[in-house]
Amino acid sequence: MKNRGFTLVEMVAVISVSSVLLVLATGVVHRAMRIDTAWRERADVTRAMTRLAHDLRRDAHRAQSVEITQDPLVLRIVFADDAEVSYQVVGEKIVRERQAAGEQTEREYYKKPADYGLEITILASPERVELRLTHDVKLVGIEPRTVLHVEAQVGRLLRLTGGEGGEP
Amino acid sequence: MISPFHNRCQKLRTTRHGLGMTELIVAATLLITALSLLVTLSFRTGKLWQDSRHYQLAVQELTNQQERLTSLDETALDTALTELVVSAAMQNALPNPRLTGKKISDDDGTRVLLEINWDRLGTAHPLSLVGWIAPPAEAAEETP
Repeated sequence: MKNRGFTLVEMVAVISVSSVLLVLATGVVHRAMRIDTAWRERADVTRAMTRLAHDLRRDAHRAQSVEITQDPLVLRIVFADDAEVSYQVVGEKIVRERQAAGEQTEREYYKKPADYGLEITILASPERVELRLTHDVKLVGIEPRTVLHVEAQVGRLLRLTGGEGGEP
Repeated sequence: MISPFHNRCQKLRTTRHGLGMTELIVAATLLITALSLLVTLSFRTGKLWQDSRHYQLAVQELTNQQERLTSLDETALDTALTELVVSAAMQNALPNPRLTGKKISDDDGTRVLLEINWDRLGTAHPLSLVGWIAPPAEAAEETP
Protein backbone atom coordinates (compact mmCIF):
# COMPACT_ATOMS: atom_id res chain seq x y z
CA MET A 1 0.00 0.00 0.00
CA LYS A 2 1.45 3.40 -0.94
CA ASN A 3 0.70 6.51 1.11
CA ARG A 4 1.34 9.53 -1.13
CA GLY A 5 -0.22 12.29 0.99
CA PHE A 6 -2.46 13.24 3.89
CA THR A 7 -6.18 12.75 4.13
CA LEU A 8 -8.51 15.66 4.86
CA VAL A 9 -9.18 14.30 8.37
CA GLU A 10 -5.44 14.26 9.09
CA MET A 11 -5.04 17.81 7.80
CA VAL A 12 -7.98 19.07 9.88
CA ALA A 13 -6.60 17.34 12.99
CA VAL A 14 -3.11 18.76 12.50
CA ILE A 15 -4.45 22.29 11.84
CA SER A 16 -6.67 22.10 14.95
CA VAL A 17 -3.83 20.96 17.20
CA SER A 18 -1.48 23.58 15.71
CA SER A 19 -4.07 26.33 16.26
CA VAL A 20 -4.55 25.34 19.90
CA LEU A 21 -0.77 25.27 20.48
CA LEU A 22 -0.38 28.65 18.75
CA VAL A 23 -3.11 30.24 20.89
CA LEU A 24 -1.52 28.81 24.06
CA ALA A 25 1.94 30.00 23.05
CA THR A 26 0.62 33.49 22.23
CA GLY A 27 -1.07 33.61 25.65
CA VAL A 28 2.16 32.64 27.39
CA VAL A 29 4.18 35.25 25.47
CA HIS A 30 1.56 37.95 26.17
CA ARG A 31 1.54 37.07 29.85
CA ALA A 32 5.33 37.12 30.02
CA MET A 33 5.34 40.57 28.41
CA ARG A 34 2.76 41.83 30.93
CA ILE A 35 4.79 40.45 33.84
CA ASP A 36 7.90 42.14 32.44
CA THR A 37 6.05 45.48 32.19
CA ALA A 38 4.68 45.10 35.72
CA TRP A 39 8.16 44.39 37.11
CA ARG A 40 9.64 47.37 35.27
CA GLU A 41 6.91 49.58 36.74
CA ARG A 42 7.56 48.15 40.18
CA ALA A 43 11.27 48.91 39.85
CA ASP A 44 10.41 52.49 38.76
CA VAL A 45 8.15 52.93 41.79
CA THR A 46 10.84 51.51 44.12
CA ARG A 47 13.38 54.00 42.74
CA ALA A 48 10.89 56.86 43.09
CA MET A 49 10.17 55.85 46.71
CA THR A 50 13.88 55.80 47.56
CA ARG A 51 14.22 59.30 46.09
CA LEU A 52 11.14 60.52 47.97
CA ALA A 53 12.43 59.15 51.29
CA HIS A 54 15.79 60.82 50.76
CA ASP A 55 14.32 64.20 49.76
CA LEU A 56 11.72 64.25 52.55
CA ARG A 57 14.34 63.43 55.16
CA ARG A 58 16.66 66.15 53.83
CA ASP A 59 13.84 68.75 53.82
CA ALA A 60 12.56 67.82 57.29
CA HIS A 61 16.07 67.96 58.80
CA ARG A 62 16.52 71.53 57.53
CA ALA A 63 12.98 72.65 58.34
CA GLN A 64 12.06 75.38 60.75
CA SER A 65 8.40 74.37 60.86
CA VAL A 66 6.03 71.91 59.21
CA GLU A 67 2.27 71.85 58.77
CA ILE A 68 -0.26 69.55 57.17
CA THR A 69 -3.51 70.57 55.49
CA GLN A 70 -6.22 68.07 54.54
CA ASP A 71 -8.44 67.97 51.41
CA PRO A 72 -6.22 67.96 49.50
CA LEU A 73 -3.45 66.48 51.62
CA VAL A 74 -0.48 68.86 51.52
CA LEU A 75 2.66 68.85 53.63
CA ARG A 76 4.25 72.31 53.90
CA ILE A 77 7.82 72.71 55.11
CA VAL A 78 9.17 76.17 55.88
CA PHE A 79 12.90 76.86 56.09
CA ALA A 80 14.88 79.45 58.02
CA ASP A 81 15.31 81.66 54.93
CA ASP A 82 11.52 81.68 54.30
CA ALA A 83 11.79 79.28 51.38
CA GLU A 84 8.97 76.73 51.30
CA VAL A 85 8.64 73.16 50.08
CA SER A 86 5.33 71.36 49.69
CA TYR A 87 4.51 67.72 49.04
CA GLN A 88 1.14 66.74 47.55
CA VAL A 89 -0.48 64.12 45.36
CA VAL A 90 -1.30 65.18 41.80
CA GLY A 91 -2.79 62.38 39.69
CA GLU A 92 -0.47 59.39 39.79
CA LYS A 93 2.45 61.37 41.15
CA ILE A 94 3.66 62.92 44.37
CA VAL A 95 4.91 66.42 43.61
CA ARG A 96 7.55 68.25 45.61
CA GLU A 97 7.37 71.98 44.90
CA ARG A 98 9.99 74.40 46.15
CA GLN A 99 9.30 78.12 46.25
CA ALA A 100 11.74 80.82 47.30
CA ALA A 101 11.52 84.60 46.96
CA GLY A 102 12.99 85.80 43.67
CA GLU A 103 13.59 82.27 42.38
CA GLN A 104 11.78 80.06 39.91
CA THR A 105 9.50 77.38 41.30
CA GLU A 106 11.16 73.94 41.18
CA ARG A 107 9.15 70.76 40.86
CA GLU A 108 10.18 67.17 41.48
CA TYR A 109 7.94 64.23 40.60
CA TYR A 110 7.75 60.79 42.23
CA LYS A 111 5.70 58.06 40.59
CA LYS A 112 2.78 56.84 42.72
CA PRO A 113 0.42 54.22 41.22
CA ALA A 114 -3.32 54.87 41.60
CA ASP A 115 -3.81 51.97 44.07
CA TYR A 116 -1.17 53.33 46.46
CA GLY A 117 -2.42 55.29 49.48
CA LEU A 118 -0.54 58.15 51.10
CA GLU A 119 -0.68 59.14 54.78
CA ILE A 120 1.26 62.04 56.28
CA THR A 121 1.19 62.79 60.00
CA ILE A 122 3.21 64.83 62.46
CA LEU A 123 4.51 62.91 65.48
CA ALA A 124 5.55 64.44 68.77
CA SER A 125 8.60 64.14 71.09
CA PRO A 126 10.71 64.62 69.16
CA GLU A 127 8.68 66.35 66.43
CA ARG A 128 8.79 64.14 63.33
CA VAL A 129 7.10 63.99 59.95
CA GLU A 130 5.76 60.52 59.24
CA LEU A 131 5.06 59.55 55.65
CA ARG A 132 3.50 56.18 54.94
CA LEU A 133 2.76 54.80 51.50
CA THR A 134 0.61 51.69 51.28
CA HIS A 135 -0.41 49.37 48.47
CA ASP A 136 -3.94 48.03 48.55
CA VAL A 137 -3.85 44.57 46.94
CA LYS A 138 -7.69 44.49 47.00
CA LEU A 139 -7.95 41.01 48.53
CA VAL A 140 -10.54 40.31 51.21
CA GLY A 141 -8.93 39.95 54.64
CA ILE A 142 -5.57 41.33 53.53
CA GLU A 143 -4.67 44.77 54.83
CA PRO A 144 -2.90 47.29 52.59
CA ARG A 145 0.81 46.56 52.80
CA THR A 146 3.39 49.20 53.63
CA VAL A 147 5.65 50.17 50.76
CA LEU A 148 7.39 53.15 52.32
CA HIS A 149 7.60 54.32 55.91
CA VAL A 150 9.65 57.40 56.71
CA GLU A 151 9.90 59.22 60.03
CA ALA A 152 12.07 62.31 59.70
CA GLN A 153 12.90 64.58 62.60
CA VAL A 154 11.96 68.21 62.04
CA GLY A 155 14.86 70.68 62.30
CA ARG A 156 17.45 68.06 63.25
CA LEU A 157 20.18 69.72 61.23
CA LEU A 158 19.25 73.20 62.51
CA ARG A 159 19.77 72.00 66.06
CA LEU A 160 23.08 70.29 65.25
CA THR A 161 24.47 73.34 63.45
CA GLY A 162 23.05 75.87 65.88
CA GLY A 163 20.40 77.27 63.54
CA GLU A 164 22.55 77.50 60.42
CA GLY A 165 21.12 74.53 58.62
CA GLY A 166 19.75 76.61 55.77
CA GLU A 167 17.61 75.52 52.92
CA PRO A 168 18.86 72.87 50.49
CA MET B 1 18.71 -4.34 -5.95
CA ILE B 2 17.04 -3.14 -2.69
CA SER B 3 18.94 -3.83 0.50
CA PRO B 4 17.11 -5.62 3.39
CA PHE B 5 17.53 -2.48 5.62
CA HIS B 6 16.01 -0.18 2.99
CA ASN B 7 13.22 -2.66 2.51
CA ARG B 8 12.49 -2.71 6.26
CA CYS B 9 12.46 1.11 6.46
CA GLN B 10 10.04 1.28 3.54
CA LYS B 11 7.79 -1.19 5.29
CA LEU B 12 7.95 0.78 8.54
CA ARG B 13 7.12 4.05 6.78
CA THR B 14 4.05 2.63 5.11
CA THR B 15 2.71 0.78 8.15
CA ARG B 16 3.32 3.49 10.77
CA HIS B 17 0.13 4.98 12.30
CA GLY B 18 1.23 6.57 15.58
CA LEU B 19 4.04 7.41 17.98
CA GLY B 20 6.36 5.00 19.72
CA MET B 21 6.40 4.71 23.48
CA THR B 22 10.02 5.95 23.63
CA GLU B 23 9.11 9.07 21.68
CA LEU B 24 6.20 9.77 23.99
CA ILE B 25 8.32 9.29 27.11
CA VAL B 26 11.06 11.59 25.77
CA ALA B 27 8.51 14.26 24.81
CA ALA B 28 6.76 14.03 28.18
CA THR B 29 10.08 14.21 30.06
CA LEU B 30 11.16 17.29 28.13
CA LEU B 31 7.80 18.97 28.70
CA ILE B 32 7.76 18.22 32.44
CA THR B 33 11.37 19.42 32.82
CA ALA B 34 10.63 22.67 31.00
CA LEU B 35 7.47 23.27 33.04
CA SER B 36 9.18 22.54 36.38
CA LEU B 37 12.04 24.88 35.46
CA LEU B 38 9.57 27.62 34.57
CA VAL B 39 7.59 27.19 37.80
CA THR B 40 10.75 27.12 39.96
CA LEU B 41 12.08 30.20 38.20
CA SER B 42 8.90 32.19 38.73
CA PHE B 43 8.73 31.19 42.43
CA ARG B 44 12.37 32.13 42.97
CA THR B 45 11.90 35.48 41.22
CA GLY B 46 8.85 36.23 43.37
CA LYS B 47 10.80 35.30 46.50
CA LEU B 48 13.69 37.54 45.44
CA TRP B 49 11.30 40.48 44.99
CA GLN B 50 9.77 39.83 48.40
CA ASP B 51 13.18 39.55 50.08
CA SER B 52 14.38 42.82 48.56
CA ARG B 53 11.13 44.55 49.65
CA HIS B 54 11.54 43.22 53.20
CA TYR B 55 15.16 44.34 53.24
CA GLN B 56 14.20 47.87 52.17
CA LEU B 57 11.49 48.05 54.82
CA ALA B 58 13.91 46.81 57.48
CA VAL B 59 16.44 49.50 56.51
CA GLN B 60 13.67 52.13 56.70
CA GLU B 61 12.67 50.90 60.15
CA LEU B 62 16.26 51.01 61.44
CA THR B 63 16.75 54.52 60.02
CA ASN B 64 13.51 55.78 61.60
CA GLN B 65 14.34 54.26 64.98
CA GLN B 66 17.93 55.47 64.86
CA GLU B 67 16.81 59.00 64.02
CA ARG B 68 14.48 59.05 67.01
CA LEU B 69 16.98 57.51 69.45
CA THR B 70 20.00 59.63 68.52
CA SER B 71 18.04 62.83 69.19
CA LEU B 72 17.30 61.85 72.82
CA ASP B 73 19.43 62.80 75.83
CA GLU B 74 21.41 60.09 77.68
CA THR B 75 18.76 59.29 80.32
CA ALA B 76 15.88 59.22 77.87
CA LEU B 77 17.99 57.10 75.51
CA ASP B 78 18.62 54.42 78.15
CA THR B 79 14.89 54.23 78.88
CA ALA B 80 14.02 54.18 75.17
CA LEU B 81 16.46 51.33 74.53
CA THR B 82 14.82 49.16 77.18
CA GLU B 83 11.36 49.89 75.73
CA LEU B 84 12.36 49.39 72.09
CA VAL B 85 9.57 48.00 69.88
CA VAL B 86 9.08 47.64 66.13
CA SER B 87 6.67 50.25 64.74
CA ALA B 88 3.09 49.17 64.02
CA ALA B 89 3.60 49.61 60.26
CA MET B 90 6.54 47.20 60.26
CA GLN B 91 4.79 44.71 62.55
CA ASN B 92 2.37 44.18 59.66
CA ALA B 93 4.89 44.46 56.84
CA LEU B 94 7.65 42.12 58.07
CA PRO B 95 7.15 38.51 59.20
CA ASN B 96 7.84 38.34 62.96
CA PRO B 97 10.26 41.30 63.19
CA ARG B 98 12.62 41.49 66.18
CA LEU B 99 14.41 44.71 67.09
CA THR B 100 17.24 45.02 69.60
CA GLY B 101 19.38 47.96 70.55
CA LYS B 102 22.30 48.74 72.83
CA LYS B 103 24.49 51.68 73.72
CA ILE B 104 28.23 51.18 73.26
CA SER B 105 30.83 53.44 74.86
CA ASP B 106 34.49 52.75 74.01
CA ASP B 107 37.52 54.36 72.37
CA ASP B 108 35.50 54.94 69.22
CA GLY B 109 32.97 57.08 71.06
CA THR B 110 29.44 56.56 72.27
CA ARG B 111 27.04 55.03 69.81
CA VAL B 112 23.75 53.18 69.49
CA LEU B 113 23.76 49.84 67.73
CA LEU B 114 20.38 48.73 66.41
CA GLU B 115 19.74 45.30 64.95
CA ILE B 116 16.63 44.01 63.24
CA ASN B 117 15.85 40.47 62.16
CA TRP B 118 12.78 38.79 60.69
CA ASP B 119 11.70 35.31 59.64
CA ARG B 120 12.94 34.28 56.22
CA LEU B 121 14.35 31.22 54.44
CA GLY B 122 18.02 30.41 54.80
CA THR B 123 20.46 31.90 57.27
CA ALA B 124 18.82 35.02 58.65
CA HIS B 125 21.60 37.44 59.54
CA PRO B 126 20.33 40.52 61.40
CA LEU B 127 20.58 43.91 59.76
CA SER B 128 22.57 46.47 61.82
CA LEU B 129 22.74 50.24 61.87
CA VAL B 130 25.01 52.33 64.08
CA GLY B 131 24.31 55.92 65.10
CA TRP B 132 26.97 57.99 66.85
CA ILE B 133 25.92 60.09 69.84
CA ALA B 134 29.26 61.42 71.03
CA PRO B 135 32.67 61.39 69.31
CA PRO B 136 35.73 59.73 70.89
CA ALA B 137 37.26 61.72 73.76
CA GLU B 138 40.35 62.71 71.70
CA ALA B 139 38.28 63.93 68.77
CA ALA B 140 36.01 65.88 71.11
CA GLU B 141 39.03 67.71 72.59
CA GLU B 142 40.34 68.59 69.11
CA THR B 143 36.97 69.99 67.99
CA PRO B 144 36.95 73.79 68.48
